[in-house]
Amino acid sequence: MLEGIFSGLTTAIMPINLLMVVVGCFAGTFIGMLPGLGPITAIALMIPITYGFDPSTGLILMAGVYYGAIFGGSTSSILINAPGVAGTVATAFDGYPMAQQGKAGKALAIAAYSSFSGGTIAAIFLLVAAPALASVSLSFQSADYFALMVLGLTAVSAFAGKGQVLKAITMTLFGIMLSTIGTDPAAGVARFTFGSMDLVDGISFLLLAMSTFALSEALLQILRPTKDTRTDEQKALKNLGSMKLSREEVKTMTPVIARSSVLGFFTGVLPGAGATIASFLAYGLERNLASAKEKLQFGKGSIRGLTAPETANNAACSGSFVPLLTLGIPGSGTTAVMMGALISYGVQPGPRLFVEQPDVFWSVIISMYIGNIVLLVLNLPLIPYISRLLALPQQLLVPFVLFFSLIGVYLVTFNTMDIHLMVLAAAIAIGLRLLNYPMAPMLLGFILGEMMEENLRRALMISDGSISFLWERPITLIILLISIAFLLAPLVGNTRQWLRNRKAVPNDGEM
Amino acid sequence: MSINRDKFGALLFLCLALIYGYYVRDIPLLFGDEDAPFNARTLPNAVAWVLGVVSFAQLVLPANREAGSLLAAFRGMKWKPVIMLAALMIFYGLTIRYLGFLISTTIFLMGGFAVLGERRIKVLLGAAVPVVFVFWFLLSQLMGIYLAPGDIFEMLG
Repeated sequence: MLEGIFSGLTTAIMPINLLMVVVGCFAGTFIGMLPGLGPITAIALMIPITYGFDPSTGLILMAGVYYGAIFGGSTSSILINAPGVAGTVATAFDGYPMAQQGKAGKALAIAAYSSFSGGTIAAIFLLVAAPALASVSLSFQSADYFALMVLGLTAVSAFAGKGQVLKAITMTLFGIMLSTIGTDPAAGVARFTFGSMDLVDGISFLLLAMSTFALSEALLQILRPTKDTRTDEQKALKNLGSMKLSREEVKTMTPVIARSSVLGFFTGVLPGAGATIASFLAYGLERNLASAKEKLQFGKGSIRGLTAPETANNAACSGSFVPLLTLGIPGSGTTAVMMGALISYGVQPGPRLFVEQPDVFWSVIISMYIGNIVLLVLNLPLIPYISRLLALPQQLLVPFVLFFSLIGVYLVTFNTMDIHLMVLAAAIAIGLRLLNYPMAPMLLGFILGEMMEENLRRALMISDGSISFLWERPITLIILLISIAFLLAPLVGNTRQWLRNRKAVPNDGEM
Repeated sequence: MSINRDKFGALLFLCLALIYGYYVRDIPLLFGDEDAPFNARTLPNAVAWVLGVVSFAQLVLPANREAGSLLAAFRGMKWKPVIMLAALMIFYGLTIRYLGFLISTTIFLMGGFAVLGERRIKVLLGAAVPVVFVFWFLLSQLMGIYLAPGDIFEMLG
């Protein structure tokens, strides 16, 4: 293990990799501050740039973008109450009131120190947990992998939010459907290609990620114009106030950081949960633990209320790398995009990665420390300068995002058909977004669909066509039972809610 | 009567499940695969069934009133610039090989800026041309990616 850490450290501190951490954090912060563009778009836009690099450098850049985007989202949340990403919604609860009290600089500093601490503590957990889990998972069989993938897909649906469970399941299935287009890897027969040579290799992951996130999010900015908050953000940055924290404030933050890091990391490890749920859980936990007097401060600029979600969302980001690096199963839309990129570099994430390419495995973990330092030391003092980039008017910004998305996909295949397919996929994605369907489960279904089919096929072959493999090994059975519990919990909750509503108000049978 | 947004979505996916399920039988099977425990049709068949059941359940379960009507979801949007940008992207796809990267990208970017309301020719040229040239330089000179000059130049000799 020490050898691996040393090899990872050597890779991570190579000048090109250090440069990529810095570039990633800056680019991520900028994109995260833009209204409407989230970390998935930020990472997807980086994928074509990373093709020329080796896998470690590519993944290090993407991890930097991920942190940067979350940090950029926090900045918008604190300054103007407009979270750039869902994971920073809870940050606005107390961050924005603090900024309104003229303590914007202090709020940004608390957010940065909390993010740094959360990210660093979680990276230490990752350092311990990932190799342990990777060694255990080396004994996993096809049946266990199939069960784990089912768990990943059901968890994403279960955590989708109130009223969104069935829609998330639908989108996951839609993603699996899309993954079946092309040549069946085992039998070598064409499926759903309708005679088109362009579909024989299936739909490219990059094309799907770019069109359903980058393209559709940029077009939605035009289609559904929201208030352009960038001018407000720049105004707010002119009156930041002091960024210094008193000893008393640091004392208040320390236990909150310790609690929220642990909570955030473990929530991030859970497939489907991620930074958003972690930040809300941490906020809720702190409010419950607070004394009656402190509770009154929540929502009015409480230091504890700002520290908790900021620590937890960064810790969850690190936590979400555990299933990706050790099991090869992405637990969120963001890590699904990273996994797609890794596969396109020719690297298969999973337990073998730890054994076969320890430099990739460890350099990513080591780069997380460096990324957190970059965010604290460089990004925080440079926030007012980064925000100047926001002055770019929207009529110039959107065509640039469209161009980078299109050319990123085109440069991989040099097939103009891909550009047309992207327009079609973006149109479908916009329609589905307007119908309130979440996009991340589709990406996850698409990535896991092929792997799930392969493992199910192998498990059935080994058990001679019997489905007894589902309960023969205790680990398979336990994972499947957890999946069923994940799936049933929201359905049971919804049914109870519906029965309660039915008693209260009779249904008018609206269609 | 306006259909509920969620119900419309469920109806769309139910149709998709039916169409997808119908085309599963077009997947060719290798000799002897018909009786194999797992063949090329197994997963598509299962997915079609599960999606059918899930979307049907969404259709018959009580409507989520918060979702609102379908018309409300699509009303008040700025469709015109989005359609024009989509047309511009298709145009870009059609011309990138004929006009080459430099010309087609410049036209695409300037067209995009113009569609979104920028009319000053200095801004149009000033924002598009340097970016296109810098990007071209990065790709072709630094990263070594060959970008063909465009069929039209080859035709002109």
